[in-house]
Amino acid sequence: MTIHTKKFSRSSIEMFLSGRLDTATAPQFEHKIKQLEDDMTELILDFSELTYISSMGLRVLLQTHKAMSSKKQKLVIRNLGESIREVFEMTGFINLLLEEERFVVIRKDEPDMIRLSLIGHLVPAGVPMLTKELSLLRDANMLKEVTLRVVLDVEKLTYLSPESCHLLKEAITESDWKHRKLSIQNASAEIYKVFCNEDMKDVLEAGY
Amino acid sequence: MTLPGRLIIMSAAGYPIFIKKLLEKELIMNTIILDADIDKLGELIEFIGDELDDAGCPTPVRNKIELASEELFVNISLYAYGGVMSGAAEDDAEQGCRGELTVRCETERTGSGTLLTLSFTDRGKPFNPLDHQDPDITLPPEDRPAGGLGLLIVKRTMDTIEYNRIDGTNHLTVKKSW
Repeated sequence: MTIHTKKFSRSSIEMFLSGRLDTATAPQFEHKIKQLEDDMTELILDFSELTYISSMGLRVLLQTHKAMSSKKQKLVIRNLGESIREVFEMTGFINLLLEEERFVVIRKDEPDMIRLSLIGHLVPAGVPMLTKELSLLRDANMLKEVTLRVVLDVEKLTYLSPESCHLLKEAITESDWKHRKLSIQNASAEIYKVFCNEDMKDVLEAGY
Repeated sequence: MTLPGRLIIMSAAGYPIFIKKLLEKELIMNTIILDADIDKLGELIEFIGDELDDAGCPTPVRNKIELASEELFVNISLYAYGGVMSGAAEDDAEQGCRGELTVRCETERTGSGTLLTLSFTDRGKPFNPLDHQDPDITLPPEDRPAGGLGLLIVKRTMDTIEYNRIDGTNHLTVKKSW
């Protein structure tokens, strides 16, 4: 594992971690954090190059979070890759993340459709990211005068709050799904229930 | 010297099938014996990595298996042979203790894919990970204890976990298929 530390200002420090944060490297990470000056107000951990994390790494994160929040400092963890995100989900560490970091949308263009994969926790703060993507697609469709099919793949959506489902429904106009231009795929039983409560059963493809 | 892996008990009728699977490489078994010392983690991960390479394991599954193996190995290294740590001393992961650990890795081709069986055997004190309650992951971070995450990760990444105490040894078996 390598750690690069960058100082933005006196009070804001950013650390880039790459490689593996495991039993062997967690002490090194812990040491680096302990060296940080006490007067910082914000520590940003960028995980975009981190490929692996085990419980020893999580333990250091939890300790850091506890120590920092007692001093009213802020810990921001961002740019989690898919495998790290999975570990965060299964251990509840996803709650350490800021709301907007808990959700990502990945767009994949396929020959006859566009697939938007929704990953992580969707709460109202994450909805704009998705609606922005949808309105871009709608504009593009109008320009090209072709009708592309859009699929929202929710296989990796781990949580959908009722409020964000409501906002999502408002963003997807009914005409979109009545004409089968937009559909939702791979909903788990729980996510399916949330959509049904919002009366969106029609839009779910091959229901659960 | 510890016997590698657990005993295989099978009927006389099952034996020819077992041999046939071995010969046709439908079943591959390899064993590593190492000190239960966290400095040896790299050796274990390398051993398991080689087995997974041979079995053509896809990367996402491989990540999960590596992760579960690390968690189990660290747990045994820290607790099995007397070096019980609690409270503040928990952080001193380097003060592990001595004792042997046998890890057997079996990959078997099944009709629909591959089944991996990893067996961890140690002569340390009895420890049944299934007796321990999972930490409450819904608690706010401030209220969460630091412990119990490793076993939780094992439970969430593997398909099954089985524990047996036989003749003074701990036998822990995890399975994963893909």
